[in-house]
Amino acid sequence: MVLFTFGCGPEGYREPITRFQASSTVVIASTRLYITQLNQVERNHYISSRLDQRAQIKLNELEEVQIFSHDGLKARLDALAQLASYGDLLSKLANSNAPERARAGAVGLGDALKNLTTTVDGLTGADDAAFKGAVGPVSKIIGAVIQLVLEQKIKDALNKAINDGEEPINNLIAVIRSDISNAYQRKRSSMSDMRVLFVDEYNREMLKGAAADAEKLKLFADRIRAHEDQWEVFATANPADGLDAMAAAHSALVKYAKSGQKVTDLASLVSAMEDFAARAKIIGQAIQELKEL
Amino acid sequence: MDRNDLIKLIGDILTKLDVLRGSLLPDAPERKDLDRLRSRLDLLQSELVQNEFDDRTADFKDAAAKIRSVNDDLRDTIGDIEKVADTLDTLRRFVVAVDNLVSIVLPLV
Repeated sequence: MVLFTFGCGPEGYREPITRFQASSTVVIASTRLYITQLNQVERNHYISSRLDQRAQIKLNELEEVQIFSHDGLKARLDALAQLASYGDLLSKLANSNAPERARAGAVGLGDALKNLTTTVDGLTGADDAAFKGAVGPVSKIIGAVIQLVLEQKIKDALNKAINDGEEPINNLIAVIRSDISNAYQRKRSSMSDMRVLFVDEYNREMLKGAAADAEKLKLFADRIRAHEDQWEVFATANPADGLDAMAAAHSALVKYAKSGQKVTDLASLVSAMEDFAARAKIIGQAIQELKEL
Repeated sequence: MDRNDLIKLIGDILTKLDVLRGSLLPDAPERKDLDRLRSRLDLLQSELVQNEFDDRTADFKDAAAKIRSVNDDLRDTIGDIEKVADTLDTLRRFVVAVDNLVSIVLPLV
């Protein structure tokens, strides 16, 4: 994500930048939380299904149902973390009074980038190709920006980010968005099937009529209630929408910077940031609620 | 329709199918077939998620158009518990259409 002001923009520019940073932080944190939960949902679904069918639970099958491999999950989380660090670095660059902080941030980001590249190179999953393809160009651009920062060429670094960063950064966001969106659908399928499992559990006991165990019926009804609460929140907790908004807001920032930061263009930038902030807030709250249920 | 749209479309059917299954008792005569078709559809969706493929080919577009067409038929009955028999027939066609697409785009899976 690119944040830039050249340090001398109109006064109204700083607020949209701050809002973009804050909203990006919410979306990235929510996405991290969400994809960390994904494998847990698939595991729970597998165990509940086996229980319902009175079938054997096998550890190899338990591992197979998980959406992302350990390395694939780590790589996506790392990529999101580095998008956040990159945004933070560029906001420091934009504040021309903090070149030393920018330099320190650049060194840290450069090290993290090397680790990400190593992790991504090791990915072999059939669903990792697009992600691997998107990380390479972003690493290249960020690496070039970092190098310019280390050489104290702050304005050149900002120009590089503006002119070359938009497409690869937005493409990486889009690829992660696609992964998240499909993972959301798998999670949706698992949670939907579990609705039936819980209802069946209750109905089997209920069908025993007078012999039904009242305690069990209450327990099963409570499970249905809790899962329905989760299901309701889940419908609004798709972080892919937040990543869409983040890419759109990022493009709005680039457009504004390229336009020469005219006051007439500021209104559309502010509007884009407000839209992003509103969507980030909704998603952040929903995912937090989902975690707490 | 691209890969993501297809995965979502299958997800929409799975959730509607679950409402239908969950509205029938576990020992209802239609449940076994509905459960079996649900399992198959879930597996196919999982394969589409876990494997990347080219969704710009003519073969994909043809197969996806057939799925969309059966999907339109399915939507007419899947929400009506009185039309379970019709839903089952259309659901079988839907699963065949998705199976066909998967065999085209992921021949080695």
